[in-house]
Amino acid sequence: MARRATFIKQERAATQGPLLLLDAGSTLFGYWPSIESEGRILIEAMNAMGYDAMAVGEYDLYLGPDILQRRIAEAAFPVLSANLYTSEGQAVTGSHTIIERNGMTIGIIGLTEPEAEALPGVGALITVHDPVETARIQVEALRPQVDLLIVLSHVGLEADMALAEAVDGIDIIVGGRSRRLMQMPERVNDTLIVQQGYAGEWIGRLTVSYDADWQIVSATEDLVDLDPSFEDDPELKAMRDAWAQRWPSPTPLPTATEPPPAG
Amino acid sequence: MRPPATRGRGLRPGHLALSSERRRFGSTRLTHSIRWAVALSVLLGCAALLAACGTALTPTIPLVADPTSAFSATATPTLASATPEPTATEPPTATPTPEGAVTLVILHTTDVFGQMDPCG
Repeated sequence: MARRATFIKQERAATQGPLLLLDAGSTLFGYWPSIESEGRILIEAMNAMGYDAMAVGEYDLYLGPDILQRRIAEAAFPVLSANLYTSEGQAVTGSHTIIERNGMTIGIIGLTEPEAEALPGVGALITVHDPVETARIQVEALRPQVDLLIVLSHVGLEADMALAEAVDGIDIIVGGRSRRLMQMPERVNDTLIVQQGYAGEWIGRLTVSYDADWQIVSATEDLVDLDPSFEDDPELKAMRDAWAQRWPSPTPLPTATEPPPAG
Repeated sequence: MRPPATRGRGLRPGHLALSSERRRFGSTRLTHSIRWAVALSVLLGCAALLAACGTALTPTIPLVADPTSAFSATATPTLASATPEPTATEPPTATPTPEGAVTLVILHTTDVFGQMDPCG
């Protein structure tokens, strides 16, 4: 993430128009020492990098909705899911946010995959509503208020495509869960769909131009491999070193039943 | 790994001379022992580094494959179309935009799984 921070700073310095930094979820827990820190290290890092919004994926629920809500309280950015509720029917997070950027009004709706209900030990605490029906209601309410509408989704690429087919009025779906590397955006009707990678090894850059009538003029998606050619950002490096000092070794030992992802 | 006694044979006369000299002084066995100990230490050091790296890369939560995807959680990420070409990391060249037009850049991540830095 120290390399990611370097890249993000470079992009912000080089971009004249509006720029958003988004995360589509399943971000807070997984690798050591994210669990030991109960997700604090990721929130701290994302605050430092200036994320604009994040969706909730099933891994973010790994320690239960209560811990997630504590982390959300520490986040300087909205953590969103319009279809995630507790088993008592309370919304776990906010459903959407509206961001003003360079004169644009941008609406962002979060979606969580229904499969999160099968998460061991946590599934009984939550209810995940149908993403398509939830999105339909949210888009209908939000569309008149914004210039651009983004769905930040962790339902998976194929479900994202089905969503774009079923619900009009979504400009962009920034997705996750499928762990794809994409060379260009998918396009379903007037909706662009992107997602890139996992484990923080890549970052995606969608560049989309609209004309005065908000019609797409061009759209490109870049896959950026955060290899060692990017120097560590000093602030994030200091954070990482402090975390490594606090949690010098994995406890307990890894219990993964599958080998780690390649790379 | 080849035994140290054969290393460089015929290529480094000076080395052979030195070995012969040591042999004359009856230290060949001791020299070999030291070499083996050094080689073993290097190997153990490499193994420890690899093990530490592997530990850092191993998620403590088993990765669950996306049932909507044709690719498993453990597979190398696969492009929807073809093998990825090296992607320029420079920002896109600014192009003139007509009046009223706007260019939006979205940087996006997902499924970070709490990763601080891959083996970093």
